Amino acid sequence: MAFALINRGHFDDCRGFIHQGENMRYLKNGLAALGLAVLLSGCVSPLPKQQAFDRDGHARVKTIHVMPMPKVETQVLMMNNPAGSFGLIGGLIAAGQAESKQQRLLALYAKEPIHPREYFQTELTKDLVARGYAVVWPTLNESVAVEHDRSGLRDKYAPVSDADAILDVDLNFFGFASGGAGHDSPYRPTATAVARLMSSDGTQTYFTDYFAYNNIFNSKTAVTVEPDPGYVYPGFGDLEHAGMKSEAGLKLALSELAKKLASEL
Amino acid sequence: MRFAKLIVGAACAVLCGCATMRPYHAKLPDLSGTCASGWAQLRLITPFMATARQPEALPQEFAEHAQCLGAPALPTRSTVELYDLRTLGQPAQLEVSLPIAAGGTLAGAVELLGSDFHVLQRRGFDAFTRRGDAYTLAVFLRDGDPHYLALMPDQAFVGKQVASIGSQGSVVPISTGYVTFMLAAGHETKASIPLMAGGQVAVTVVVSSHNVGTAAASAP
Repeated sequence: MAFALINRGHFDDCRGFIHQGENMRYLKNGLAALGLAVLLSGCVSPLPKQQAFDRDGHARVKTIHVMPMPKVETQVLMMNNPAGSFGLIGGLIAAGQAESKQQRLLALYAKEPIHPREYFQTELTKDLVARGYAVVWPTLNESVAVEHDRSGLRDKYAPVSDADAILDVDLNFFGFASGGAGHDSPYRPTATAVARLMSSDGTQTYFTDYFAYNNIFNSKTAVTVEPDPGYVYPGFGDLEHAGMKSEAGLKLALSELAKKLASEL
Repeated sequence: MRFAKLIVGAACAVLCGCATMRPYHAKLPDLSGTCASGWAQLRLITPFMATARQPEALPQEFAEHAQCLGAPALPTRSTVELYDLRTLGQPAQLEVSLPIAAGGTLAGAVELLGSDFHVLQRRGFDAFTRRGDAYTLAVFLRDGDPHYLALMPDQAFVGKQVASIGSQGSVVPISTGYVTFMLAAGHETKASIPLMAGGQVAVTVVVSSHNVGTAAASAP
């Protein structure tokens, strides 16, 4: 929940408690990681109810209008970071470590940076077309604020006239994640998403589900794609040493996630 | 102070329970005895109907409920659970769930059968969706057919292994005598899950005209 709220800018509500600036950014990342872990672990249930898609029952759905996706950042997350045990200071240290690794990762890919949102859109379009759908991607107006619920999906949907159904997709987490500290908990490419298919008038839910490539968050119900064993990095230094090959692992995570989502529709 | 430590320990145990998996060993069905030769000889199972209080059937051991079926109904002997769909109000939606366990997961296949037990549709194990703790398959019924659902091992997948990666966290209370704090630690978990001819299964009628509203299509 915290992760979704933070990524949507609702984190501004916390400004009365903390200073803005670097600490704000570190704390934001730390809370984001914690929120994501809690959200996906299944120990709480703020996610909307899952619903399988009856493809035969909705055979008239030929064209899908995909709602504009929010911007996605490449992140580095260590689950169960021991530094997080030491109160606010420890939390800030853990968040600072994640921030530092994120910056080093982005610097590593500076020559050929990955654009997760655009890459995922391209892959999803390709996979939906392969499933027999025509896909409409409207232009995103970044300046218009969009209301999302706690899962990252929109609260409500305006009717569309250019398609038979509306698809709302949000990439919740994208980057590298490890299950803990130490070389027995390697960094692996990780991506999670939530998706919902609505009727074209925006009133009826046809499909809702969650997806995890590398289900390190132990989500019990998310559609799970096991990570490719070719992209395993015991330490962050190993990841850096791998250079652009590690970026190929991230692209594969997005491709596999898009393919799995399309296969459910 | 001691009471506080006990409370902290109990809290850790509860929290750690979110990530632990109970030891389990799948039972393999027995094919050595007398087998039925026709579908009509099999005992029918009524699928569990979801309620607001209990939205999913409790997993049950496949080997304890499946029955042996052989020629001429099937080309080779197999164990089958046969579910009766005739009393369901249609349209309806069923979910077949095969819980994932390190002690064995059923590599199941589903056949939808007509009134005279002819196969209308077959969904192999590869049609199931892999989730965090189960393989699931959604089955939609809408026009009177099928009358029965048969669940049996998918021999093309029995004997294979699938990887399962997750993480396990623990919280250890550390006391210095003056201060007690919680040290979080954790690591990646990696298991190889054997796909077998036995394991647990849960079949739930998620939606039918008899229980409309428990999970029907609705506004977000």
